[in-house]
Amino acid sequence: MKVLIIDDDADIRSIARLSLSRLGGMEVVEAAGGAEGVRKAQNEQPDVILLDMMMPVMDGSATLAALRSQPATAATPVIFLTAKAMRVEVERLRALGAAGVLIKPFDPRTLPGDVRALVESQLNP
Amino acid sequence: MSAHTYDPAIADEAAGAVDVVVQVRREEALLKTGALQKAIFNSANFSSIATDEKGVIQIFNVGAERMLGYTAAEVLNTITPADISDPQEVIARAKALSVELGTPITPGFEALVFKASRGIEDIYELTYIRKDGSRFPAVVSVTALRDAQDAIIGYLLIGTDNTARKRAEEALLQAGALQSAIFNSANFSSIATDEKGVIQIFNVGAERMLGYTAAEVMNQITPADISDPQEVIARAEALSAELATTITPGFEALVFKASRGIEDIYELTYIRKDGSRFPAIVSVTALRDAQDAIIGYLLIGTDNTARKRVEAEQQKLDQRLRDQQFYTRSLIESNIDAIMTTDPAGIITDVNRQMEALTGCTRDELIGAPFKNYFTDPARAEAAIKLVLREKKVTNYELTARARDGKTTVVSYNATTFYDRDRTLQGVFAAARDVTERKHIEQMLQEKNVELENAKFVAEQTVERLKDVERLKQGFLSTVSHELRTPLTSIRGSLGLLASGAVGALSDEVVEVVAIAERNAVRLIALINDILDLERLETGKIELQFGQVSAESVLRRAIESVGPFAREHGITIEASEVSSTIWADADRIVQVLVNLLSNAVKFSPPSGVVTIGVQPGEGWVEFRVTDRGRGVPAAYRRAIFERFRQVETSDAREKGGTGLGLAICKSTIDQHGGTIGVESEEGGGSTFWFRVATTPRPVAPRLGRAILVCGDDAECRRSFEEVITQAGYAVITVPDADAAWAVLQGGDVAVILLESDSALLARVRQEPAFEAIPVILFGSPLVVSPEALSDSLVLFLPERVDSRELLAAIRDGLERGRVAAQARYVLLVEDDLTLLDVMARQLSREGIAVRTATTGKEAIRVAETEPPALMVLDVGLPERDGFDVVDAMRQRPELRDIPVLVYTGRDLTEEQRGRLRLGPTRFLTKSKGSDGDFRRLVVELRRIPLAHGTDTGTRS
Repeated sequence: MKVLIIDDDADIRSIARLSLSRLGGMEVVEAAGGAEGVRKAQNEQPDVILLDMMMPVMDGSATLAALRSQPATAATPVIFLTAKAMRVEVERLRALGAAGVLIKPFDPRTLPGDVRALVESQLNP
Repeated sequence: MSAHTYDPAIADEAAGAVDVVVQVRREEALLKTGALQKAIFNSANFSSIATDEKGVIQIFNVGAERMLGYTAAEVLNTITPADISDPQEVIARAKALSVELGTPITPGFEALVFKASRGIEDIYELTYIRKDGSRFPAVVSVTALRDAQDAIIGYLLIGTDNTARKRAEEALLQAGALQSAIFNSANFSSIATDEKGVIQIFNVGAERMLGYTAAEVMNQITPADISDPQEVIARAEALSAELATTITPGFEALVFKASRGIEDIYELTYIRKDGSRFPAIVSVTALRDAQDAIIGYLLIGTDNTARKRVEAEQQKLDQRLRDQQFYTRSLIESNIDAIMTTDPAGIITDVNRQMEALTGCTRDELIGAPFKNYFTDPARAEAAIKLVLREKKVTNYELTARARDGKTTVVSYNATTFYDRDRTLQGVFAAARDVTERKHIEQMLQEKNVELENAKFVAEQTVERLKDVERLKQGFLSTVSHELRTPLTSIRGSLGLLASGAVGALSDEVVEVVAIAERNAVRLIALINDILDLERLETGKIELQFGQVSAESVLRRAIESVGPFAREHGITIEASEVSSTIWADADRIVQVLVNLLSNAVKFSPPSGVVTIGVQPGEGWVEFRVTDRGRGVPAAYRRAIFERFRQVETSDAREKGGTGLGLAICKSTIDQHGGTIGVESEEGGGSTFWFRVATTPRPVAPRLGRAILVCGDDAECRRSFEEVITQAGYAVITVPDADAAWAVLQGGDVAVILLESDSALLARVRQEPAFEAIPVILFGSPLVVSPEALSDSLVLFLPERVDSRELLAAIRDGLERGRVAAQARYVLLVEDDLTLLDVMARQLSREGIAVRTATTGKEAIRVAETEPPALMVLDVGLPERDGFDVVDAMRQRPELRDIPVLVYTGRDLTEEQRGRLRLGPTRFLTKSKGSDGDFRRLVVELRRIPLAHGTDTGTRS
């Protein structure tokens, strides 16, 4: 499984990468911002995109919209990463059409499993 | 012969010698005669003018010289007496004589002596003319001087100056005329009496004044008989005393003085014939004969009535004037202000007592002194006078008066100008009021104002700061979730990776150390989560989503969640079968259960058992989590529900946990309107319990926050839900009326979107508890009743509705609902301010509009202004107690049915309770501890259906 992580925080990208690759055996591609993320998504064609909500310049929603507007990336499952743990927020994000929402801080040990599970459920609703 | 020089003519005459003896005798006789004649001759009172037969003056004596002003030398042998007489009179005399004697008489000397020449005694009046031209009346006696042959050899004219007598005559004439006038006047009573007092004359005036005819009184009575007898007696006594001789009380008293020639005028009261009286002024004169003997008396009297009346009037007026003056003076003196008048120049003309006190000077010292002298700033005082004169009025002009002893008083000077009748400026009338007190108060007020301003400013600042803090906190709350979590993600992540060996094998020690770090990072994260949770719970940021929740399901989820943790600790969880439902936010209840279970597990002894019990009750379900751990000491049983309170400080480290878990539980259960607590014995385990309601209670129709969508088409519900949620509202969807009704009971609904169900619509609109909730009808066909059409809280959606219209309708509905809800309030009537505050805040937190009153009177007033939806009424109140309030409200149709919660410390008899009922009324007794009280209060409140509101236009 190829995963694209879009997050402006390098450390978090590292953690996620280490977790997904070492523990999950996944291939990981990184992007530091929304624009870069969309480009990489088009080029790399990942199986799933982990998308941080709070990013400068182009936030999660905008990035999602951009992804959805490109035919190449329109159908790629997107999992939101958010520090806002409020239920209403979570609901809202779900309503935007995410495959799932993961709340930071995430457990690096369970991250791969959660991602896989969410992708599964997206593909098989 | 005497040595006197005398007229040679006479001397010659006398010297005719015949007989020496005869001559001597003749001489003697002549001498005697001559002496007399000499006396006369030498008298200055007689003018003796002898003339020759032609009238030429031969002798002009001293008297003549004196009377006429000529010396003898000037007239002797020069003129005739006619030349020193009034020529007109001479002519007139000549004419008169001519007529009298029938023979023409020359107007001249002949006229003066003709009669004498004929031997007729002649004495007549004649006006002599003096040398200086002045005149005087004379009486002239003329004798012819004859020789021995009896031939006229001359004439002798002896004259006296008749001036005085003439005057007397004139006076007499006048007097006579006057007397005549008096006598005939009706204004004077003239009563003449004989010497005994018997009335002889009684004039017209007397008749008129006294009412008697003259005939009735003449020769009969004395004036004493028509006088006031007492006065007569009094007069007699007074005269007796005055003259030191006994006077008979009678007529004698009236005329005694006159009889003595003493002028006498006195007041006497006459008595008329008809018995009436009048005051008279009587003037008495004695009438004398030629021998000066008294032959009678004349009493002239005037009626003094008018004058007396005038006098009396005058006295009355004088008295009134004095009274007036006294009154005015009293007013001025009694005035508490210092009053003074000054002339236009500022000199004091009058002062009252207070002015004396103010200045420490006496009235005499003040009057005449300049007004400005008595003030600390004389220029300012003077300016005041000038100002009054210019403006006619000055008010509230501040001056500082200085008394003699130096004491100063701040006064408010108020003055006006005043005038006399002719509008001439008289001066300035002023009052100076001691404003020391006022100034003091003003100053205090000023200071207080400043204080208040400062306090206000400080308060405003504080509010601003608090707002800032709040804003920061808000921002904080939202930022912290990102800012804290972000680095924590990395920390936790790295540690987790390390510990998992995903980045390389690590020695056991290293792994252990890393594990420590990871654990603590996790703990930190949990703490942050809990803090945020609690904060949001308590500030109401978390919107609980109530629903019918199966107790069994929450139990299951909680146990599932805690399962691994329990297994880790080797603790078994046992739960009984349950089948109750509760009205709750499922996730939150799960959270509570998870918390309690975790605690139970943590504190259980190894291989212990944690049991969960669920006990249904009346309207509530109680969950009980029991462990066999060390228990909670009594002192802590309440405290442990507070933040960060753990019984042992070491617990945090050993047992983990953030210390916030129980606080969050309590907050959650509070939000559910439930109760939470712990039963425990130290060393004997603990049972943590909480209760939640099974059904929603009828609650004050809060402006809930959720949009309730009720329709049987699932697709429709979903699409509505989507639109509404996207707009940021909370939404609850239900498929049918029953579910809708259940949700409504939760009290969280702001607007109902109802698919064409007129039955439910009617039910909702008629339910007092939901009256303020607007209903938006959709679907087709729309079956609507006439009431619904005119109901301002019922809105309609068109058949095909787009999201914009839907949201617009919702916004409209929300606004109407807000307006409608505002009309309802709960009136809290309580005179204990602390308690009132607590109640008010609690209710406000529930979203209930509250108004307060601390007295019965105020309660009535507030209720009458706008009827409350419900009243919480204390009985013991100042200014009309609870009974009075209910009585007053019973009089008003709009108030007589409102629900009441009587909340009092008193025990009420049945009769008293009866007097406190309006609409649905419940009674709650205050107990000593007020916390539990208020909880009960709110519970009771929720049981009472609120009264119909006064929404305009919604009800017919």
